[in-house]
Amino acid sequence: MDAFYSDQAYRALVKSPAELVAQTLKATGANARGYTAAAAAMAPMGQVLFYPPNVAGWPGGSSWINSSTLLNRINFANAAAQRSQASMTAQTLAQLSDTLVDANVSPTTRDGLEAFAAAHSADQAGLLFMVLATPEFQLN
Amino acid sequence: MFSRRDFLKQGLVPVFAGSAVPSVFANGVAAAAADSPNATPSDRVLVLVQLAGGNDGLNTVIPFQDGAYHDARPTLRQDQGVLGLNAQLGLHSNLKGLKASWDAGQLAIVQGVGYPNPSLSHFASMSIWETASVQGGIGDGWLGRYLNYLDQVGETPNHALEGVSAGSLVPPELRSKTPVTALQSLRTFRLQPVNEHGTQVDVENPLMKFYGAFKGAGPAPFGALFDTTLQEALQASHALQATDATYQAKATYPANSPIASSLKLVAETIVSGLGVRVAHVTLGGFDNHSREKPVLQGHGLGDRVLVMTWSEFGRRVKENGSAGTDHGTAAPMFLLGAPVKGGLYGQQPSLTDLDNGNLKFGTDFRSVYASVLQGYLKAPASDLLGGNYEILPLLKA
Repeated sequence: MDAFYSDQAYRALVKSPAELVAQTLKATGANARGYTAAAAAMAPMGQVLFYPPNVAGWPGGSSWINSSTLLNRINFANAAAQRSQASMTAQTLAQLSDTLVDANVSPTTRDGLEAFAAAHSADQAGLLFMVLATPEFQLN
Repeated sequence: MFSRRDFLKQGLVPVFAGSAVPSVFANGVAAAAADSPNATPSDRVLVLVQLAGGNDGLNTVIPFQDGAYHDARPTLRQDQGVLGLNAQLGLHSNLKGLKASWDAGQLAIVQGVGYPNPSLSHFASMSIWETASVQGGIGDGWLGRYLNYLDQVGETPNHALEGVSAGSLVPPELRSKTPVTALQSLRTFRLQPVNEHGTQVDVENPLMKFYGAFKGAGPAPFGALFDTTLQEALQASHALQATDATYQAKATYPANSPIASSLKLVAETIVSGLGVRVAHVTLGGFDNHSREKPVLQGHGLGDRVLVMTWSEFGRRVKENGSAGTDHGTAAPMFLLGAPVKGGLYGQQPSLTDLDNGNLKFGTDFRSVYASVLQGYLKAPASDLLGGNYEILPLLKA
């Protein structure tokens, strides 16, 4: 068990677009019918499913992250959170943080999220987005 | 990646004019040149066009008088309409734009370009071209090393936009310590605000803080990367949004084409003087094991922009049984634009003196890179390429 939390393993991988999209959709309670849209959302993040750049596959790791893909990752979380606003069950910041980022974010981020939650108490989608947009959520 | 089919349908290759998108691109680049006729070397822009998949050099620059060509290509050969460059060689009949550049003295063709012990694997060979090292590998790309060099000598007018690429991924040639911007569309290249019941809530500042804090917090090796990338992205995004507000496109772009949108942005960044030094465009679909047709079309460009094409390999001399060609070796490279001294360079490879059915290369691709780095970008080629390669007189001073 400790090995999972070792420095070598814990948040040592960048989520691939497929992982990021799947986890985001699960977090926003989206249904499975939007799967083609979900696949399409991965393309601007640098991954077209079943269409790797060459036979070696996707290089992964830091190659998922550039200025364009990072903005796309964050904007996708925003759009997904907005879309699911109506169907979402209310969750506290503590619950969101626990499920999505292992209740382990930097103190600055924790303070920032708490401040957002306090200032926008009626905005469940906004809060969910803020958690999904953290650097911590970009990693596995 | 842009597909070869898209370009065939539109009858064009993006940076080479011919139809809506590329003419806009070319116009933009020409406008940039007009704005700064006395560009200093550091203002010079290199646009690298990757013909991904292995372009068939023999059906691009055609040795139409060579009997061996006709024998080797019973179905693929072009008998009629070759655009003659001289008595032996001609461009494929679809390459009228390139021929116009040739006539204007703005096209240099380096023949028989390759490297020793060629790899016939797409990704091994691409990696060799991208890193300019026959070991390949995942180190900085050859143009990434040029960007690093610009940083060292303090040539960083707008850091995030120094290296730009059309598409969603940063190509390995540009891999460097300098962040490189992948441009897809202006709409996606910005941080969207949170929409709280109709009110726009800006999230830029809190997110900048989150990413800044994470840089020092986690054991993860990615903290610094995330932080720098977000900062550079927002800086570049602001610069582009400001530019786009005033930018007047000189032609209409197809509304729903991601290619057009990507290229418009790349052209815009060049034209708007946002400090682009190196731009990269990938054209996919040159891996024509069957039913092959040529694709390039060309057009002239501005003074401070040099366009160079490359492909990971050429094709075999003999066509295969399905009217295609299999992975080969040497192929021509094109350099296009006003900075070029037009003409043919290198040796036309023999079609009969072959190495296991493949053309023997006459010019090392690193010699072409060195010529561009030294002759055009005024950078120390031997340092950046890790060796001394012959400088070809491809470019004006």
